[in-house]
Amino acid sequence: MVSFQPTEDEQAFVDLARDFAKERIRPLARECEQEGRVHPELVKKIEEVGFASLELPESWGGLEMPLISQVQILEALSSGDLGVVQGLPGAGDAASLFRFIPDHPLLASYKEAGQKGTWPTVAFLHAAEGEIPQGVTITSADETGYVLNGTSQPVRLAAFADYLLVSAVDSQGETLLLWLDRQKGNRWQAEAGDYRLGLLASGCARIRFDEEKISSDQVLAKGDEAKDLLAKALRRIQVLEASKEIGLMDAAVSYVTEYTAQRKAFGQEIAKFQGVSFTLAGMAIETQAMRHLVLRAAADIDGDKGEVAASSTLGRVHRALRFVSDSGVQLLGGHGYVQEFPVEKWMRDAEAQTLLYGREGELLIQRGEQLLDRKVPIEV
Amino acid sequence: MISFQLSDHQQQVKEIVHWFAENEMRPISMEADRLGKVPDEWLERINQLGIQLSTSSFGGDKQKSGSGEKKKTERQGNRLAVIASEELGWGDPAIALTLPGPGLGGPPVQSSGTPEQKERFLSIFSRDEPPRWGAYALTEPDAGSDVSGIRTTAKKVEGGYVLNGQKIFITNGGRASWVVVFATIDRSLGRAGHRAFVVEKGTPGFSCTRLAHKMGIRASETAELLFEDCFVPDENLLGGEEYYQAKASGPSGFRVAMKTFDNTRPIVASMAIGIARAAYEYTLDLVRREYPKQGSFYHRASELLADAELDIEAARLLTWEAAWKADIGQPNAKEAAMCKAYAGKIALDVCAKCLELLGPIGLEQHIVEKLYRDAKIFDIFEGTNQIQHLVTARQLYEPHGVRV
Amino acid sequence: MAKNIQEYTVDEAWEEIEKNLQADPKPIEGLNVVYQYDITGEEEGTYQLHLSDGKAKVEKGTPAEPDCTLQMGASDFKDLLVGNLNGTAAFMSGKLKVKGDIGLAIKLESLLRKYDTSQYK
Repeated sequence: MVSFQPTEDEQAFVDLARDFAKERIRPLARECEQEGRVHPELVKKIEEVGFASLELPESWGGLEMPLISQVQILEALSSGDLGVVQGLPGAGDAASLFRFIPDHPLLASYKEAGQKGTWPTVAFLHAAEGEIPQGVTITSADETGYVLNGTSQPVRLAAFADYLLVSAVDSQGETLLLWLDRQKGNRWQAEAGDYRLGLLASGCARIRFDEEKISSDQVLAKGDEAKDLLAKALRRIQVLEASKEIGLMDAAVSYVTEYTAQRKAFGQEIAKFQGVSFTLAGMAIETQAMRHLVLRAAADIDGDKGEVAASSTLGRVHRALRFVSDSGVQLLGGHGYVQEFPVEKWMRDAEAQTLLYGREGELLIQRGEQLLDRKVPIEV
Repeated sequence: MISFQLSDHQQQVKEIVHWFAENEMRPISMEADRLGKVPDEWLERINQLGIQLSTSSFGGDKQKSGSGEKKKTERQGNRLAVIASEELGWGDPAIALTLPGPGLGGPPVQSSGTPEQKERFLSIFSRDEPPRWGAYALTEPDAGSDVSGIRTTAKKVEGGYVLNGQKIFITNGGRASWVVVFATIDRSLGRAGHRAFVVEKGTPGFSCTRLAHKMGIRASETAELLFEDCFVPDENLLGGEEYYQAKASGPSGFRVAMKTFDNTRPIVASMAIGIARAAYEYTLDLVRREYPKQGSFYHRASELLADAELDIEAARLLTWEAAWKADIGQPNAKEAAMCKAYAGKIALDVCAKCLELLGPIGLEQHIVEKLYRDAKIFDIFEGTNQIQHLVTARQLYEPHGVRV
Repeated sequence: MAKNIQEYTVDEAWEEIEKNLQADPKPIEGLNVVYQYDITGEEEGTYQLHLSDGKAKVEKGTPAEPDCTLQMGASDFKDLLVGNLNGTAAFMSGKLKVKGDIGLAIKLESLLRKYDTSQYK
């Protein structure tokens, strides 16, 4: 049966998240950006309410919520400020993998560490993807392990992370999932950079390995098992990221509606000009359409549907995110470009978000290849 | 004959300005963005070279033909200006806006000033003296697109006028030696009440209250100006009383502001094109050198780059057309609006396409993210994209007797 | 005794240039460049300015391969020398054409301005 009605629990969580976003997150957004991190007090409050463990396994004390609920809550939280949400310490993207292997012995000490209510930060270095060299190479070092070397592309939360989840493809073409723990002696450098565009509180950094030896007992999974786990985790991550983007879009639509209803020019509220109202309508239509696509992808994944249009949904939401955040600035005119108003930050955060989470074109092509049942050939 | 070939002189101008952009502007570009300021020493040195931002830099073509041929002079000041501006935008738009000179204050003084005023205000920009700036103050907190809504008042008193009001988003407003300020002598007169005054730095009651922090063009000074019982002498009313009396039944100070847009919009459009071209060239080069030559990324890259190439070319041709019309003395309001609308939009689009191709590395250490932040304002200032559409639409409907 | 620059022939102007550069070679220290001037119009002629090892030499014609060639009319050339014509303005208005290294042309302009030419004005 078709219905767009959230459950009561979902509604309660969403209302809570929305209030939180408005009362606590939005007012601190600029400061967090300037300081390059989310205020510890704000982090604590978010943890207290449970927002930091929505995706984590129940056996770990997490809420292990279905995606359909999470996407609603994350959207509401992100409407406060995407930059803050992306800077929240904790399991981050890795949570979507933990969900599938909660009893893995390698993760036991991390699980233990999180029992006090604060989850240490994990950065997910996804180097196993795509055709573009990721900067980090993994080579087999005899039977006992591997060597990681090189500098990665910027990774969210890397500046704050004490743990790394790494996906890589070795020289034989075998997919690997690795778990690195500073406390267990693994070493890497999170390289500080000159970040200016956006998501400045999210701890973006390149990860550098200097011939770091990884023993084979740090391998969470390999081969087909790793590929399968990775695919399952990735589509969850894609949908969760998309839901955060809807949050920013929603904020922009609300903010611009209010601004244009009050701002006067040529003797009337600028909302009365079709150029303005039609653009706002366009923003709203796009946001709603994308919101539904995200809900759909979430429901499909929760329902264990085989193939889900997750990557393409994220790609489409990226495109909509840019349109909406850009229109947000445009409709405020000169005021949209200065830091007194939030929309310029939202536009910058939006663009940084699309850079971090997959190229729009590639995300669409991934799904297209599934539909056509064929990869775009790589001539050797 | 239709031609898109640059003449030798035009090519020369392009090369010289490009040299300046590449060798003088680019080296300090990222640092200036970081600082939010163009270093003073750089400005002093550049000023000594005689390089200024002045829309009147480009005289007619004075090519001397061989003996026996008649000397033909075709005005090409506007075309030269857009060719040069594209290179300046390519170099760094914030630094371009900070080059010494009368800036946007130049055209109103040039077109509406008395000979005495032109001499007094335009002669202070010399390479033998410290760098100086002019500025243009129209926008107010409650009057952006709606110029007729300005509230800065100019009350007639003995010997001059007293100004009260506030201006925002004024490029070089804080450092300018003088600012062309638009005020109204009587709000009830509407546009007919608008006047343009030249307010000199240091005039009591005239102050720069703050500088704005922006998404991009961070090295450019964007000032807020305050006028509190600021006395401006009669000699500083641009064009003098005679100008407004003579035009009592015709155009007014409002016209002073609007007319200059037909000349400045193509220039601003060109800078936006320069930004897009900078992002495109940088990305094309990087992708060629470092990215795989097959597979889905390669196909996506080919599509986006081909699209970007045409975005830039189309914007440039619209801009050249607007400039050409101005040069040959034909009205160009529609073309000026069209090129600004198009260029303002594609500048951001091209940067976004380039950033998609760069991927995560585009977040830092590459100029493209700065260009993206710089580009956005070009769809807003000098008339928003929406205003350009309105102007274009009005031009289209006017022959049909419909005013939109 | 110096007269107004326009009263010199181009040949004579070049003599003055060479004289001044040799009298005060500091601005040309460390430079190793050949500039060529193609003077057009009534006093047509080609001249080269060789700068090397802190010495300046003016040559007629084209004995060497120039690094940078500037082309302008005789009276504009004289005005440029004494600062009555701004080099940048000259480029922009088409009075001065440059071939070769543009950076060198700009360098030459600021170099020549270091000399006191008030006596020729």
